[in-house]
Amino acid sequence: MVDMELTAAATAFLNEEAALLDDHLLDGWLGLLCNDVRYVMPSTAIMPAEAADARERRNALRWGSFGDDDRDMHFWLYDEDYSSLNMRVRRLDTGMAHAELPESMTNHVVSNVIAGQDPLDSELIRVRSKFMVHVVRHENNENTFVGSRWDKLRRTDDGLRLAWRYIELAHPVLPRTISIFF
Amino acid sequence: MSTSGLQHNPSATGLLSKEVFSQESYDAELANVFGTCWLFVGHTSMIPNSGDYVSTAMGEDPVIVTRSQDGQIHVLLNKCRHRGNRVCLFDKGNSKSFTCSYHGWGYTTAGDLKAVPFLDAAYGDSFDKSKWGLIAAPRVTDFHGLIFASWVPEGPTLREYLGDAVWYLENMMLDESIGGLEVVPGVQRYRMPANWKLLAENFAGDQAHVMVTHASVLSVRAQNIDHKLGALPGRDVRATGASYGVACNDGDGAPHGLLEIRVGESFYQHDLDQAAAIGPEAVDWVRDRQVARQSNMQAQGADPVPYGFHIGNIFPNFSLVGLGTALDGVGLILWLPRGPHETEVWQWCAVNKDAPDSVRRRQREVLMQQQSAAGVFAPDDHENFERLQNNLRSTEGRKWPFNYEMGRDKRIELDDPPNWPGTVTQALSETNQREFYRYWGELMAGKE
Ligand code: FES
Ligand SMILES: [Fe+2]
Repeated sequence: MVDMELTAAATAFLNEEAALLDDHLLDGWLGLLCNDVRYVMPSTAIMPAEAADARERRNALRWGSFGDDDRDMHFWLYDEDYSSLNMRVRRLDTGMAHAELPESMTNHVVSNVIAGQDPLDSELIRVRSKFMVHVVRHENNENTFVGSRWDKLRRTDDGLRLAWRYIELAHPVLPRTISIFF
Repeated sequence: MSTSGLQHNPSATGLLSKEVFSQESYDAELANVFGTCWLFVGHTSMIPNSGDYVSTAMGEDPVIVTRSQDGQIHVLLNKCRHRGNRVCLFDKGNSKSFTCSYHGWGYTTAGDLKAVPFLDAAYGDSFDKSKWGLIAAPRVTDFHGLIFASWVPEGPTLREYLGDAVWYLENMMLDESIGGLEVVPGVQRYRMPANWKLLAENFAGDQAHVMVTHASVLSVRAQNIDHKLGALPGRDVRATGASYGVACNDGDGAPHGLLEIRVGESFYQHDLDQAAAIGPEAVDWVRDRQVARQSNMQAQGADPVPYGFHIGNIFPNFSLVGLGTALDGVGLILWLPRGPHETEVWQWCAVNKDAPDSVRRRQREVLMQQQSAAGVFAPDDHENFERLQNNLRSTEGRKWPFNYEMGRDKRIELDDPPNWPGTVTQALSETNQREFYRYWGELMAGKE
């Protein structure tokens, strides 16, 4: 599925996004999202090896093809739409969200980008990427979040916009609570 | 040891010595508190079928909660009896047995040792397999789905231990009268660099922090941006109702603290409005729930009938979250001790088993968005707890006690106090926190 041209375009999009997040330009970041965006991040479990069909199903899930049961009845870390992401940004704007006072210093390092045409929807491209986000709260309080993302970017008149993001953190136990975006 | 006895009991003085958070206290409390109390280890809906298991922990000890072939629930120390290797490596699953990866001893899901390699070739007749099963918690009780275990073979039953909390759990928090709860798949786990007691006491009764620590949530709630956040009762709703704290087993026994037990038509009305935006089935459910809960509690003489609860802590380290609305899932939280300066938090989400799917979905969304690892509440608490803990690392800071005087000398007399079990207080009080350390001190002094 790898398409060099799409991979270059997707990489540019993801790098721009990372810069907005690291610069705390969160309204700019919201501007990169489609109005119908889904932004999900399950919790990580250590499970017995899965049979091939379960692996396939999990892969389908990462690209957003799952039934109500899968999506709606698991206790996840994020399951957001535009209005709830906007609410989170507005919360940080109140100046009273202690988790981000002072603002975390973050460095979103994005890598291993692979992009290709979405097989089901001509407007979408599918993008896999890896990230490491280094978070400094204050003094020597540092944590690193590591994970993978499965994104769907929509071609619009204004350029690429995020329509779907599935984030898999590589932390069965998170190093801290989360008040940032990936 | 200087932490023993009641000299650190803030019920007597309003003050708490920071020795309560020292390494010495920590070493002792693993045995005196976690080794003796009833501890929450899981929910029956996590292990519905025989062979199902889930890995959790009692204090620092990893345990496997299993349902054996005969349907019984067992709580087994996840340590091989031969050399102590971990026998179950997964968070959950279904299995007939657990086989140790070191020398291959195999155990049933009931914990019995059934396979020992080279048994005939190298062990004599004196080797008795029946003596070498996994260490099992001698007492395990299923309380309306909540599974509790204790390492001591004798002592108060779980119901006796819960005491005044039984009534609240049965009638209000676990929704027994309307079909009960079930836990949805998925557990959130995160590290919090603070002593577990600071987190547990917060959930037992810290009303005062809500307006300050969570000011951003209350403020953004008022902007009506997101419908899920709307489930949280807003200022107007709270203004017309009443909220109480409850100290269960006040002064005698295990202190379970409940916070913001809510009374008032406005909370019900608010839930009806929220439900209307979901659909008619949600409205019907909220209405049926109200009728069933109300008639059930009225029949037991409750006056007034409480509508919901915000949070609570079952001593020592099991907290529940309800957010005071029918449209929030019930959060089940374990504060697992990981040294005097660190806690590992485990959280699940329970939803009403018999509610329509649309309601169950909303309950899960609301809890995820609000009180969870990436929610709008917990990260702000995290930040404060971390700074508190830094004080406990400070040589000078450690010398000075913490203050728990709120609501001790001065209590607003309740005009018309509810007649519920336990000591009902104004919500703004540190009664429950004082009670928490009162009992902690008793256990540390060796009182059963
Ligand atoms: S340690 Fe388990 S079989 Fe030896
Ligand atoms: Fe809080």
